[in-house]
Amino acid sequence: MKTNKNIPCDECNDGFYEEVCENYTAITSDDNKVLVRNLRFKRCTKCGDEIFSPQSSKIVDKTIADFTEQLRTREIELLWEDLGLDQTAASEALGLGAKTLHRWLKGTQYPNRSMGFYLRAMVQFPEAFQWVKERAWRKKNRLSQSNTSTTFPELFSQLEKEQHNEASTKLEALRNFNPVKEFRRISVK
Amino acid sequence: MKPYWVTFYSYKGGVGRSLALANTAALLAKQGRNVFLIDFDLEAPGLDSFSDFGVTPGQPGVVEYIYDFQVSNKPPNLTPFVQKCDLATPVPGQIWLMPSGCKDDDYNRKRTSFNFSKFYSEGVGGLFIENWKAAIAQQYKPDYVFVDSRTGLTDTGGICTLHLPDLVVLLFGLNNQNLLGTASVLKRIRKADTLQLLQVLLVATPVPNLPPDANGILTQRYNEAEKLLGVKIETSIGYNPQAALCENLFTLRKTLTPTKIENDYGNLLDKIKSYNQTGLDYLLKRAEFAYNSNDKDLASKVITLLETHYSERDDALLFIGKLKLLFNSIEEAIPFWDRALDLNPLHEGAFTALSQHYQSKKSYEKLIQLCNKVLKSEDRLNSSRLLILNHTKGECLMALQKYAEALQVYNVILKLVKDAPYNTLLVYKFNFNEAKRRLTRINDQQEWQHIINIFEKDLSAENTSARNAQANRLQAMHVAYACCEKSELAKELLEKAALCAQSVGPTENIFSLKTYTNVSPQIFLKDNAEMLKSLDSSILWDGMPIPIKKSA
Repeated sequence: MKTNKNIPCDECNDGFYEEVCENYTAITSDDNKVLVRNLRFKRCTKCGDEIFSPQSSKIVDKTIADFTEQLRTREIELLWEDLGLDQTAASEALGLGAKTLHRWLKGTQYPNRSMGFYLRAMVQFPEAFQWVKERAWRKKNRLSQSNTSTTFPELFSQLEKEQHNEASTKLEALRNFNPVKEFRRISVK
Repeated sequence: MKPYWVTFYSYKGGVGRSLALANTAALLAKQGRNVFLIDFDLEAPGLDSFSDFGVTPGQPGVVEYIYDFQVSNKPPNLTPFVQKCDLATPVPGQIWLMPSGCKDDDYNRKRTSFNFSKFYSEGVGGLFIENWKAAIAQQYKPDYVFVDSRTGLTDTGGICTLHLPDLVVLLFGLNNQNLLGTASVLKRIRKADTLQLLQVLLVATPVPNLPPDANGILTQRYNEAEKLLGVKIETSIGYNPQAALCENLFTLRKTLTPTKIENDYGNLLDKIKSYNQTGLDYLLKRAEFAYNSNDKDLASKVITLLETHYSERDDALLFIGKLKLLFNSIEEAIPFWDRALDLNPLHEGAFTALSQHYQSKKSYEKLIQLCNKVLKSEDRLNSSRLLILNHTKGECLMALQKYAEALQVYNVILKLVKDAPYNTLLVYKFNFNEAKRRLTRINDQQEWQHIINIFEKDLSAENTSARNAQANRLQAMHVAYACCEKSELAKELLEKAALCAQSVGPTENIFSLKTYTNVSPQIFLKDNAEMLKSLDSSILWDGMPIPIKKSA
């Protein structure tokens, strides 16, 4: 193994960077661990600080991109074409900020792993894209998706017309209400 | 809009609770409101026994509905448990009845299987009952839901008084058992921890017809009641032997003057309506207020609400039209009144509003069309309305000089009034004869003599009616006298008519014989003078020669 002890460490100023070649564990932006086999990089003998040459950085980035199935610029362009809207409208529909797509296309940023999956799904299932575009979940009160909705359809369709918090207060009150017990408290003297 | 829920509760039985419920419901339907009835007196059911409701007794209802839910854990579709009432007397509103149930062996087994307190404490009961309320509102859209509650201190009584209603009508007799029980229930309703604030209406029933002496037993009992209940008793229902013996819907009877019991139920309903602050009746009340007080802000609010929620209801459309008048737009009002009449050709308010408009615009063709539209449902009109409609139509035809058609209409009228007292026939007989005279130009002296006879018998009526009515009457009758060779008397009548017309205010109208329309006193007097002049030449105003009295 070739070593170069001439470069002092930036961090501790005590040790020197030593070139190593070993399996390196990289961390993706969404905190997943990716193993990069036989990577050449330099590590401080004293404090363990690591520095990478441009080539080894590229290897790490490539491994992460493969692992996260990262969308490349060209792929992103194609996806946006398939969505069938102009770029700004499609980004707005997908809930992306105005600059995000610009950065992706320039290559200064990449969609993370889950975002990549989401975008692929949106293109694969136009219905789902439509659903997202319409923000259709807003029409459905969250309450109506709970188990009770199948049991009390008319009540829930009425509650949906009310504000969310009003409806849940009302539901809570209904669950706790017992007119029979109240009525049993009558005493005729 | 949500229906207004009213529970009828009594502590003791036999006070006429179901009867009050049924009669007020029938009255509401008569006024064009839709009512949904629930018989929640599960232990002693009976609303389906009212034969006037025209429902089949022993059909599934409340008990089966709750039972099905407990078995399947899903609220069943309401339709099989609800019957539409088919009243013996047709009414514009609808009544649906959800009876208590089949009343067979299974009924009792199912009924006793319920534990309502557990049902609620498991957190399901409240949701189920609320879902039931929502289902009724969505499927039937009634204006009111009336619940017949179980008497006494029962579990279902608790649901009926504390969960279901917006208003509890507490009915009670004036004896001690009733008063003590009612007082304790009232106290609980006031104190109970309920989902919404409950309104309570206290009704004394059945109150015997006794003199209201200060020391009499009735006053004593009222005082005792007010002491125990702590409120003034404003509403009561009188004792009626028929009510004690049969299930009668008094409010649907066609009596000329309402009987005491009909009035009592009417007052009770008015009270119930006055508590309702959400539905159609409330909005109509606000509409009337806005109209009378010329409050445009309120009017536009009410119009919006009525248009959003009640665009298919005749009364709502009538008032939307009326309120539009506040913004000086009669043209905008007319489509609403037309629509009201399309929905219900018998609607009196819409007819009156439209006919007044056409009359003022002198659009007689339109007014005739309007009358014909209503007359299409002839079989559902009562005789007095038939008479008014035909009378209006006849006048329009005369004004348009369509004498042949007018004659037909007046013929119909004479058939309608054939049983009426002789002395009330003057106007109808006169119109018939006048139409015939103008059409055929033949002088039927015998007929005119008949009319003179009626007129002379009833001279006393002359001085009691309004001046413009008198002027019209006198002017018209001159034709009868002239045709019977009594032109001197005819002239005298015309002179009297002129005197009457002179004392009529300049802004008022007089119905003119010449045109069969309302004219100003000025024109009336001008025509009257011409008529007088014609008589001098032995002709009538329209040029028809009159017979001259052969000198003796």
